[in-house]
Formats: sequence, C-alpha cells, structure tokens
Amino acid sequence: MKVTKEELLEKVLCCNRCGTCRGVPQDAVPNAAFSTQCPPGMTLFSAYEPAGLLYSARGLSLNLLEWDSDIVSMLYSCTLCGYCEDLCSRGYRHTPAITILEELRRITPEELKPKSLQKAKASPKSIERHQLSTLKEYGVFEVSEGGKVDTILFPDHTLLNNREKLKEIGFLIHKSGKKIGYFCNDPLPPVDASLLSGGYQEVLEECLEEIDTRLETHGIKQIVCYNPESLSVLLRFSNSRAQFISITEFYAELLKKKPVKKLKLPTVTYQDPCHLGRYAKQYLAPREVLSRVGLTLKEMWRSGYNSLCCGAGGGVIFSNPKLAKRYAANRWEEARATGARVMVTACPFCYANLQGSKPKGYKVIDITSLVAQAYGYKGKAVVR
Amino acid sequence: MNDIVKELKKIVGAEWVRTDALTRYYYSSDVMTYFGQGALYPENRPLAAVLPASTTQVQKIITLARKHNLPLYPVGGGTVLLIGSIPGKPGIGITLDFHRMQKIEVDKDRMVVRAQPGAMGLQVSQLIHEMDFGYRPYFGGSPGTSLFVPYQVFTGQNKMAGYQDGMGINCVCGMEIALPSGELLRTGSMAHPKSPAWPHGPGPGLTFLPFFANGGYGIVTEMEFRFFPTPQEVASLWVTFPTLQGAVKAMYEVMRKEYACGATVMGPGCWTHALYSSRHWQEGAHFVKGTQDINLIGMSFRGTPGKVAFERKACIRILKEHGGVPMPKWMVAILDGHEENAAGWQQCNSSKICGTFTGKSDSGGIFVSGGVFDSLEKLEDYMDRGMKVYQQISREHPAFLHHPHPILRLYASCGQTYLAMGGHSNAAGEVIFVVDYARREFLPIVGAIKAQFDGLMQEIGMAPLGVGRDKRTWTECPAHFSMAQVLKKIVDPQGFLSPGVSFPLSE
Repeated sequence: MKVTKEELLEKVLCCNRCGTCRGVPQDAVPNAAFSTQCPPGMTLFSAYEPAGLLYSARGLSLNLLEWDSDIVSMLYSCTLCGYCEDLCSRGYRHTPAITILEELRRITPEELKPKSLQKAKASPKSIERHQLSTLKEYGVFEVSEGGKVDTILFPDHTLLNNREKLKEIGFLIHKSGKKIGYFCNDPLPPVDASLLSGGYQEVLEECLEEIDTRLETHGIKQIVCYNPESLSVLLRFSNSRAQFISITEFYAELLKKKPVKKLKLPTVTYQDPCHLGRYAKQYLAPREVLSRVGLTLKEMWRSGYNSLCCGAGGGVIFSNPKLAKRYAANRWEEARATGARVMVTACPFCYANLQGSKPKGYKVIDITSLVAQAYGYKGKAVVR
Repeated sequence: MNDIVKELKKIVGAEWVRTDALTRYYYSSDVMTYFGQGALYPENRPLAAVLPASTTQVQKIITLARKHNLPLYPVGGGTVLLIGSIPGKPGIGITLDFHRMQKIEVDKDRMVVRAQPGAMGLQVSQLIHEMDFGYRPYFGGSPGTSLFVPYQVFTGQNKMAGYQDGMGINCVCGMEIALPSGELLRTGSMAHPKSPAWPHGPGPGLTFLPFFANGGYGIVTEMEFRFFPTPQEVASLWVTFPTLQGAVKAMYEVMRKEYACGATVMGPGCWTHALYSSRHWQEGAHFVKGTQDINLIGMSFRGTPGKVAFERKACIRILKEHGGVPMPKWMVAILDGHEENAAGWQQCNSSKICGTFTGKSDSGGIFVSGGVFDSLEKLEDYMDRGMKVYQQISREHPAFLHHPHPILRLYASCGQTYLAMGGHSNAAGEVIFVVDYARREFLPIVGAIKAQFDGLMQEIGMAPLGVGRDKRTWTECPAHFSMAQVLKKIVDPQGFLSPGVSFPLSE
C-alpha cells in the first residue's frame, strides 16, 4: 500500500488541473445546479477541489510545502468518495487520486491527524464488548463450534453493539434458510475504511493478514459484509480467495428466491454509498431490492455511477461532523428536487449522516430495516 | 499587510480571505509552471487569495487595492490551463478567485447566456441541453470543464475561443467590467436587460477591448454570450497544401469572404481540429500519424442546406486556386466528429469526444513551445526547423520513435483569429508544439526536444505566450501594444491590475 515520495510525485504529475473531475457528466445531470460533485470543492474553496488536493501532494513531495494544520484541514475535508478518480479515468488522464489521497493521509504527521481518527488505529484489535451473540438467537452459529460452513457474516464496528440491527439481520438470515456462520467468541478484526481515512495502512495490513489466515483455516468461501466500507477494503486489499459480497446483494438474492408482499410506502429515493457503488461497483443490487419490496424509486440526478457522496466518508463524519452535515445538505437539496420524502441507503455511515441532517418531514431508511419489514419483522426498528 | 487582510475580510467575510501557505502555493502555479507541462515561467505565490461573492465586493476590493497599490490577479473558473493568473513576481499581489460567483442564466428569448466568472462551461452545456441551441465550447474536445468561461475569457486570455459559435470572443455580446477606478462599465448587450444580443450596442461596443489585456484594464464580473440555433445542415472540408505559406494565403482569402467556421491552418503532423473533433483519441492519433508531411486546412460549414453547399463549393474553389487539394471522402471519414462539432457540441466532458492522448497514468503531454511571430516567413521557418529537430531526435531514439504514443502535435493559427478580431493581421501567426509521450523514461528525450525549441524561439524571434513576464512585447504586434499601453495608462495609471501578465512589470 505504501508508495515512495518519488512514486507519489509521479502519480501526482498525472494531474494537469484540467477540471474534468469537478463536474458530473452532463448527460446524467440536466440541471446546472447539480453539476458539480466534489464535496469539499463545491462547499469550500478551489484549493479543496481534487486538483488542489493533488497539488498539495506535489508541493509536499518537492518540499515546497511543509505539513501544517491548513494542509491537514484540507486533506481531511475530503470524503475519499473516489468520484474524481472515476471521472478522470473516464475522460482524460488517469490520475490515481485515491492512492494519492490515501498516501497523503498515511504520511500526515501523527500529531496533526484528527484525534477522532487516531482512535481507528487501536480499535480493530481491541474489541472490548460486543453483542454479536444476539445472532445466535436466529440460528447464526459460531464458526469454531458449528462444523463446516461456507458463508459467514462480517460484522463491522457499527454492528458490534447495535443489537436492534443485529436482530434484523439475524431475522433475515433465518428467513433465508441459509447456513451462515460468524466469529462470535473471537470476532474477526472489524476493518472498514476508517484505517485508510486515518492513514493507518500498516494496521490494516496486519488485520487483513489475520482475516485472510482465519478465512483460509476455516475454509470460508463467501463473506457477507454488512458495511460497504468493510466490503470495499476487503475487495481492494485482502489476498483471500474467498468471495466478498455485500449484505445488499444477499438481500437481493433472498428476495428473488422468496418474494414478499409489496410494502406500502410513498416514493423513495436512493443514496448510493460510495463504497458500495463506486468502489464495489454495486449499483443494481440495491435497486433490485427496492423494486422487489414494491417501492417506486425516484432517482436523484447524481445517482448510480455519478452519485454524490453523502459527506460522511473519509472519516469526515468523525473528524468534522459539522462539515459532514454541510456536505449532506447538498445531497438533501437534490433529494428534495425529486419530490420523494424518503431516502433509502445501504450504508451505516450514510444513514447516520443523512439522518443527522435531514430536513423536516423527510425520512432516512436503512435497507436492512426495509427488507426486514417486508418479511414481517416486528422488532423495534420497523418502517412506518 | 495585516491591515489590508482585515479590510478584505470586512468586504468578503473572514472565511473567504486565505493567507495560508497551501492556498498561496495553489495559486502560484498553472499548467505552464512545472516541467510536466512545460515550465514556461516560474511559480510565484500571491500574498493572499480572496473569494468575492458579488460585483459589489469586487468593486470594493479594487478600490482597496488601488488605495494600497496592491496588484490584483483574477482567476475565473479555477482550472488554470493558460497564462494569466500567476503573479508577475513572487510575493506580490492578491489572487481573486471567482469560485463563489458561478451564477448562469439563459435568456431564451434573447438567445444569450449570462454567466459570472466562476461558472463552468459544463454548467452552460447543461442549461442549454434541451433548448436546441448550438453551443461550441472552446477546446470542446478537451475535457476540462471550465476552460472557456473561466479566467481566460473573463480576463481576456482566451483569444482562440469561439471561432464562430461558442463561448469565445465572437460570441461575447456584452460584459460588465469593474474598472480600476472601481466604477462599472457595461458594454454591448449588457447596457440594458432587454437589449438584443448585439455586441455593438446599446452599450459601448468595447467588447473586444479587454481581450489580450488579461485583466489589465478591468475585471470582468459578468458576460453575455450569444447562442445560435442548431443548424439544419453541417459539413466539413479538409484540404491539403504543398506549403504552409500557400495554406495561410488561402486561409486569409476564405476569411475575408467570411465563409466557413472553425477554420484552422495546421502544419505538418498537426492535429488541432482533427483531434478535438474525432470521436476517440485513437482516431485523432491515426490522423496525426497520417499527416506528418502535409499542411492542412480544416473547416466546417453550418446553416441551411443551400448556404452550406454554396460556401463549401466557394471554399473549394478558393483553396484550389492556392494549390490546395481537397481530401477524398475515405480519408476524412475519421473526422466525422468534426461535423458533430459544427452542429454544436453540447457535451464538454464526455469521454467520447475527449480527444487527448495520454490514456493511462504513465503518459502525459508536454507543452514544448508556443508563441507568435511578426512575419509569416519566421513562422514557416520555425515550423519547418522545429519538425526537423523533432524528427532528428526521434531518429536518435528508436524506442521513442517507434512507440505508438510519442508524437509531436503542431498547431498554427496563422492569423485567422487576429483577422476575426478586427484586422490585426500583421501578427502573422501563432504556433504551439506539444509532445505527447507514453512513458516517463521518455521525459529526457522530450526535454531535449524542448531545449532545441527554446533555442529556435530565441534565434528566430518568437514572442512567447504569456508575455509581459520576459519584457518582450505583447502577443500582438508592437503597434497594437503601444496603443494598448496608452489605454492602460488612462484606465489604470497605477498599473495595479495584473502587472507582469500582459503589461510588463514596472521597473
């Protein structure tokens, strides 16, 4: 994952500040008000746009700039949504923006890093308490105790102590009738993108090594990831031969095999999580889920391949929650333009950020809750 | 300086005045300032960057700057691909970034778009997407989304823009300019909100005045551009010439008749329109490879079927009289995109029309040389010797020569844009050499080519683009420059607007 200073410079010089990365392709967005995409660039200053972020890497590589709080502030205002790199490769050059931005975070002096993100370094290996045993109530069993199993659930930090969500997932796994296990007694390091956001690639590598080894040892062939951030990190960096899928894909498959009665809900719109869409290329599964539970989807203009980040990514939701909400306001503005008053998403961070910034009279629903409701789940987090 | 910063914060709000090292570094450079793109002049950091939100704020900033004799350097859309926004020397001046001024309005009845300087061409594209208006952005084949509304146009840099229909000089019908005195001047169509889209009235017909001044006369805070109805028919014409001189003479003749649009003379191995217009970069590359030893004029026609047929026929006659040979249909098949172009591109960042080479991360393009000559003979000499330099160095490095990517792109505007602007035809032409390369190990070879070109530039006497920095003349002819300096002294006697960009720094 590491790159040398020279390699970094070489990558940065791919960018000539042409500006392609700033705008959403016009075919997709027939409204000028929603034509730009970079959360910090459209919200803050020109220097915070992708070209500015990359240009700072050039300055740092050539010792023309020195690390200070301004650079860190700019760097950590980026949500690492990946759209700049995507657009760059679609159009003109191929500036590996994500690699550059992640490397910049890795080499950020520790004392300048946001404190909230420094916690990520310790967290994967220090799970003090969790409520994963909730899943046992639904027949999900401990891998080390239950004999051979091909598929496991991969819980992340947001799930470890979220009993209500665990119950919904347990309920749905039970409904599927599939034999699914998990590591409950000694959970797998619950990695997600926070280690990249904090610049702790070395810790991530250690965690992945452990995960890969244990998957191999237990002969696991498929891993269902609840958090799209975990999915994207595992897809990008794990050396395991196992297949990583999102829980949304799991739901889509389940709904195909066991259809449900249509939900009676008003028109919804859908927020593509960057780590599910742009990183893991899963755009169809969530839409299939919405269709199969009978919802009418009204897409925002910046959707699918051109989706706009909700503002939570890159650790911004932790390091600068106010800024994350400012970013989310851009998204809500577009959601309002659709006329839908319900936003569905498939990522716990998108959910939290959009929930915390929603306009009056609007609602955010997690896709797991939606599917659970469709199958008749009567627990707490039901959809009304 | 602290007091000035305080004053600036009062005008635009504390959040929008930036003095940190990062911001100053960001505004110290453009695409020409580092080797990857040419290193034509040094990086100079401003003292601060200010982001105004309104014309009123711009006026107040100008007044403050005048009071303290502080240079101002405006940046429009913020993607800096050409010259003009970098301070004339290190540690002077303030950069004005129009990031907060992005308003765009289309007036369908008057067929104009009114835009603020921070707006992007992409946004204009989106606004007129379904309005059945032709819109041809400058550098439309290049993906930069803010190449034409940004500072280049707003500060008058974008001289090549808008051949006939686009957001360039020929389509600008009005401007709102904040003068060095702080007063506002509304030219052409902008004098009255319901005025027709005429550049010559009802406001003063000074629309072309700020061009080439690069913000030296005033700072444009709004502009109106005309649209054109989508033509009933479009066509293109590509004609080869045995000599560059013949091509240029033929071009002058075509332009005097006011036929065609987007006409450009291209020297050997040249691509400009071919590459901009081809659907894929591969098409463009194919074309460039096939034209290494010819001179070419490319042009398009648009309008009613009768007008298109008449103009095309007339141009063929004129071009043949000057020794031109129209290219056969099979040869121009790859240039179909040119007709789409003429029909009015409405996408400026679609990958299908992004005619640029680089492709993957280990490739790039280097701006080798660019500038103007005061005689056609010098231009021709430069292009001829430049090509020979390129060919010789390429032959010495077989890996470079035989790689499918490295290629010299050569572009000569040969006066037509000057003619189009009102007759500055004694500036014979402009030439730009760009080398694309596919591997970083080719960089030294590209560097050697560039060094040779630098020598030629000095020897033959080219005025480089972005002059003012090296105390040579403007990009125009000396007589024009003298006149421009007279005007500059009248409107900006202190010389605090963009010193060192178009007008040399005072000693």
